[in-house]
Formats: sequence, structure tokens, C-alpha cells
Amino acid sequence: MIIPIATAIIGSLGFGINMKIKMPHVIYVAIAGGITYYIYLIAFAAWENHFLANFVASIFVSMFAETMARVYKTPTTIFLTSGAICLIPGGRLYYAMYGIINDDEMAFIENGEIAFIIALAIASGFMAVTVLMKLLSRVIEPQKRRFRQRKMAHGHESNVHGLDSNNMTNDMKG
Amino acid sequence: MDYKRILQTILDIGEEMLVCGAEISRVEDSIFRMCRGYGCDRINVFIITNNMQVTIETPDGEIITQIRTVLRYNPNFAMLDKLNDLSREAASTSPSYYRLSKKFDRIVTARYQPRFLKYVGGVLVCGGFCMFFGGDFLDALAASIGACIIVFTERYLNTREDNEFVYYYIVSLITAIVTVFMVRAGLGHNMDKIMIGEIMLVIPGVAMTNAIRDLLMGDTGSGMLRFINAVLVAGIIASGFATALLIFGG
Repeated sequence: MIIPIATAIIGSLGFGINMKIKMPHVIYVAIAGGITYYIYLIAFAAWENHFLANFVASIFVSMFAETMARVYKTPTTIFLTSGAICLIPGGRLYYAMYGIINDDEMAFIENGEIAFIIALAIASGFMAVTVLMKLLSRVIEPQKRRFRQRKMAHGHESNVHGLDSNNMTNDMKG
Repeated sequence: MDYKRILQTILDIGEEMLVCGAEISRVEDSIFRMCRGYGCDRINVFIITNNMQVTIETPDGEIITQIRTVLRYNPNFAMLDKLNDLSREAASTSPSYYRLSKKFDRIVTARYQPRFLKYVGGVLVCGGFCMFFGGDFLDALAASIGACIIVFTERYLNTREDNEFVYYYIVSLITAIVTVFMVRAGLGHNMDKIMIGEIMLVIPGVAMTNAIRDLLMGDTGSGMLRFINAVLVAGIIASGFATALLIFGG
């Protein structure tokens, strides 16, 4: 159990360096990669289910990325891609490819299916957190939503009535 | 104010953000915010993976449309971070064209990483994930040599090959051939583990994650484009490795 987590940390660190994340953030990403895999291992031991385990782990890494992005005022992608890298089913994809070459249809179907399920689980985890964060931000700062709804209408209105841009921004705040 | 030049610089910022690996919705949002910061009206932003179009009406009453084609892709999150800050700053303070373009130039021309760190990163990814998927220490060593070859080939081909699929095919083919010969020479025991470690480095993880995020944020068109692109690239990488295995035997 120690070796996979340690190598997951090393791999996430390498991926962060490769993507040119700046210095303190790389360390956080690497640790997050390790924790993500630890959560995956625990969840997989508990449920023996590829979908659920990856789903829980990707929810964790997505939450981590959203929180860090808000704390350090950076794009979420920076923390998300490198933290989730250890969940990507690289091994399954390889064995699926190997199955095609060796005319081993069973290996191809089995590994390809699990790779697809894992990809779906990661995507659903991201989606769950994204939706949750959108709902939360709606509760916390409601004027953001109003701005989005009005952004088309406002240009139109100011054109018709000849309001200048100063007026428009004041109006939008209120 | 020269709004044509300002819009051009805003598009430059957006283009670099896209090249650095930002998701579409973020770029769209940043451009919209910057245009609004300059007091423009009726801002329409349309972005897909390789094309961006903006139409604004300036406070002078002039209507400007500019189109930009984006053909490069080179993830650089440190630069993305700085560009994001610049876009927020421009939206809140609306600096003059001269100051904005000067700040932009400083961000783009800055050096973010010494060259050897790319190799270090590659070695960590390949070696780490080789052991992660069950390889032993000798396998990790072989995967690290493979990582150096991948990074070197990517660097060499980056300016010479425009077609993304040919690029990934050549990279994965060369890497796989070298791996096969390394295992034959006795460096490494499990060829599959070594190759998995190498695949993890070339696989388009950023593009895939961004594609999913774009899809979920409502940009169905660009999300689908990027997703299909990422899946095709993954297939091309697999076929590059498969070709080497077929020719030289697994």
C-alpha cells in the first residue's frame, strides 16, 4: 500500500512539473495526488466497485481543486488535472490495446469496459462537484447570477435609451 | 483610446490562455470581463478549440469584430496563472493599450522553467507510474530513459510537425521501439509496465479533463471537439505502441 501511494505522489509531482505549475502549488498537487489514491484504495476495498471508488476519489480531488483555486485565486484546471492523473486508467488502456494485437478479444472487452467505466466515474465526480459549487456560489453571491442573466439585455437597453457605460455599470450593481 | 488595438491585445491574452491549457468557459469569461471593464457594450464572444471571435461596441459607438485562429497547444500553468491575474487586473483597472500590451509581453517572454526540469518531470512521471502499476526498480529505470526520449522527441518535433496525430504517432512509435530494444538488451523485466509508465506521460490528460469540464459547463460544441480530439490522440498513441510491438514482437 505504501509503494502505490508514494509512486502516485511522485507521478503527480512529475506531472505538475511537466505542466509548469509554480513552486508551492506543485507540492500541494503532489500530496493531493497521494491522498486521492489513498481514498481510492480505501473505497475500492470497501465496495469492490470500480465506478464508486473512482467516483469518490474524483469528488475529493475536485473539491480540493475548487477550494485551492478559491484560496489562491488561480484557475481550477491547474490543481484538477495533475491531482486526478493517478486515476486515469492508463494500464487498462494498454492491456486493451495489447488484447487487440494478440487477438485476445476477451482481454480487450474486459479492460476497455473497465477503462470506460473509470472515465465515466471521474467525469461524474467532476460534474457533481461543479454543480455543487455552482449552487453554493449562487447562495453566497446572488448578484453574479443577475449579471449573467442581464448581460445580453443590457447592451440592447443602453443602445435604445442612449445610456452611457457609466450608467450601465451602476445600474448593474444595484 | 484605441479600442481596436486594445481588443487585439485582449484577444492575445485569450489566445495565450487557450494555448496554456485553460478551459473554454474560462477564456470566454475572461474576455467578456475585460471587454466590460473597458466599458464596451453588446459583447459577443464565441470560442471553440481553434477559433475565437469577438464583437463589441466601444463607448465611442464603433462596432469592432476580430477573429483569431489558435493552432498551437502547449500547456503552461504558471503562465496561465499570470494571464488570469492580468485579465482580472485589466477588467478592474482598464489600463491603456501601451501598459496592457507591455504587461502582456512581459508575461509571455518570461522564462518559467529551466529546460532540464521538463526532463525531471518526465522521469518522475514515467518512473513513478511504472512502479505505480507494478513494475520493479529496473523497469522504472528503463521507463525513465523512455521518458527522456519522449521529452527530447517532443521538443524536436514541436516546431517541425504541424499535424497533431502524426506528431503523437512518431513520438509513441520511437519510444516503443526503444523500449522493446531496452527490454531485449536486459534493461527491465516487464515490458507492459514500462510502456504503461510511458503512456501516462504522452496521454492527453489535460485535454481530456478540460473537455469534460467544458462539456459540463455548457460549452457542448467545443467540449465535444476537444473530447473527440483527445480520444483520437489516445487511439493514435495506442496504435503507435501497437505498431512497434507488432513489428519487433512483444
